[in-house]
Amino acid sequence: MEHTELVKPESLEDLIQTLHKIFESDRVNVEEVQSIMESYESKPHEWMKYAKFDQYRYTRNLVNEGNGKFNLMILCWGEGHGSSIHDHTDSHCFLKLLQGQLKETLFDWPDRRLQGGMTQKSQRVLLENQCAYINDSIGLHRVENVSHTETAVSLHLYSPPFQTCRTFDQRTGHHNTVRMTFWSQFGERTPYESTVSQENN
Amino acid sequence: MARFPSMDEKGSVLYLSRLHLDDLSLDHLTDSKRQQIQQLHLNYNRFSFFPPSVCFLSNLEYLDISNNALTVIPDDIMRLTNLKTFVAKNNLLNEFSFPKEFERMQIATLNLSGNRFEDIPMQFLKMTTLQSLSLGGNRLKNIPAEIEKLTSLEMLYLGGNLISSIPPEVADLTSLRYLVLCDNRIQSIPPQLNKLHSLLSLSLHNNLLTFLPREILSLVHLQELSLRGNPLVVRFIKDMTYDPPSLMELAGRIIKSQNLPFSSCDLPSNLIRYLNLASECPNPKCAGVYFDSCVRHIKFVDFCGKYRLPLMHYLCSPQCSSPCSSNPQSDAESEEENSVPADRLQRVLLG
Repeated sequence: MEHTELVKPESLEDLIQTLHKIFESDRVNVEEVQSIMESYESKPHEWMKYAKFDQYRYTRNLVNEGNGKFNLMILCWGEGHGSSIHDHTDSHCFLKLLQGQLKETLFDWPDRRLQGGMTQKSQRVLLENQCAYINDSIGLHRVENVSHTETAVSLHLYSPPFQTCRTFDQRTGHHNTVRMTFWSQFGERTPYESTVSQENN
Repeated sequence: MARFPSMDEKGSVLYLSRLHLDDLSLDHLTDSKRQQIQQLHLNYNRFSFFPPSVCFLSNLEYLDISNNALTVIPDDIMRLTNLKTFVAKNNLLNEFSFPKEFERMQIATLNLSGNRFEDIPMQFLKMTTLQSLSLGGNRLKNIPAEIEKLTSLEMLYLGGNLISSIPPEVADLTSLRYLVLCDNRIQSIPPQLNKLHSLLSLSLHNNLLTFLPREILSLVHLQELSLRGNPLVVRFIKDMTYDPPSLMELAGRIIKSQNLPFSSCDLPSNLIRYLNLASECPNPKCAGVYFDSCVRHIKFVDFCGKYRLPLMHYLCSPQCSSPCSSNPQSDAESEEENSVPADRLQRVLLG
């Protein structure tokens, strides 16, 4: 299998170009992508235009559509903002910290027969520039900014792209399918009409 | 995040973050240059005292001095009459650090997260211009009732403290849109919180809540509600240790529900007072009243994107049927909860 030379991306633009090349092939080398993303040193002036925060919950801001092979987006987490427990609709998910820290809690898929709550498998804190990976065979996760003083910004790559996922109620294991929306795309705010929280949290 | 001093083109924003500063002299600036400065960033330095020269930037509107080692805010800060936003996160400040007259400042946004406050200082509670107050990650043990004086407050962030209860006076903050109480020790939510008609987001995760008051359903504009990390009841077994009402209560109930007239020449004053304390049964189909004796009833309701939230309400007696819920589906589910075997003596709360 052909491997792209692992040269450290000089900039976000450089990282995007490298990802386009890597994803030309249909096979995804997870370690390679994780390594490339981790080696990009976060420079705020390169991604600031995508980092649009909302007061009440985390935002998803589309950066690049990866020629249909992947979606690259930036998530902005205010103090205390967290996601539901969710799956990744059979896709690869890479998560890199650009600023601040995020806590990732892993869960197994709930067992319908047991009808109980979901208990966490493990937990870790992701630090600036670290890149984590997950897919549905590994399990489910919840991502949270537990800081009361600092915001957090993360870079996410999903391949193939997906528009819906399942969110899980930790107390019952019950799940809902939710449609995922973007707060902004390519640096422009793109409102979506929804008055109720999409996340069972 | 500037790693070198810089100023924007208009000369109104001065970036002095991350420069290992422990003191600041602005003597080299002319008076007119000083008047120009509207925003000053002094975060991530080594200030153990508030640099006095800052107090002479008379047009300063925004000051961020977070991530330093401040213990005191000097009286001279009162000179900054145009200051609208004051951010001093991650310092060593507490309720004794601020000047006595601080309440006279016209500040709209005050962020003091990550300090050592054990109480909200009286001066803050008199700042009626305050729109946003953050005291996250401090050591607050309670919220004073005087919080209701902050009538302009739209954002109140008190996450990450040691708060065990919420005073009903919080409900008087009718402009409040965002209330953050996560990561505390709160065991119950006062039902009066349904008066917060402007509330769009309520953060309650990581507390000690076992149920929510039914009144929360009135918050029809609520878009976000976080409840993870609370020992919310999944199933509720009826409390079989119900105390039957006293004879006085039964007599009082009959007088009120039959509308029997009474006056001060009929009854001693203590009984008149008692009769005036009657509460109406929350069940709109029930004309009953109760005094001290009521029944707690939990119903599981879908609300704000959440599935099966345990909502508590009080009824005048076990025979009184519960009011219609907002979701017909959950009516069916709670019928199941009602048919509990009589030999269940304990109230079981499962987290």
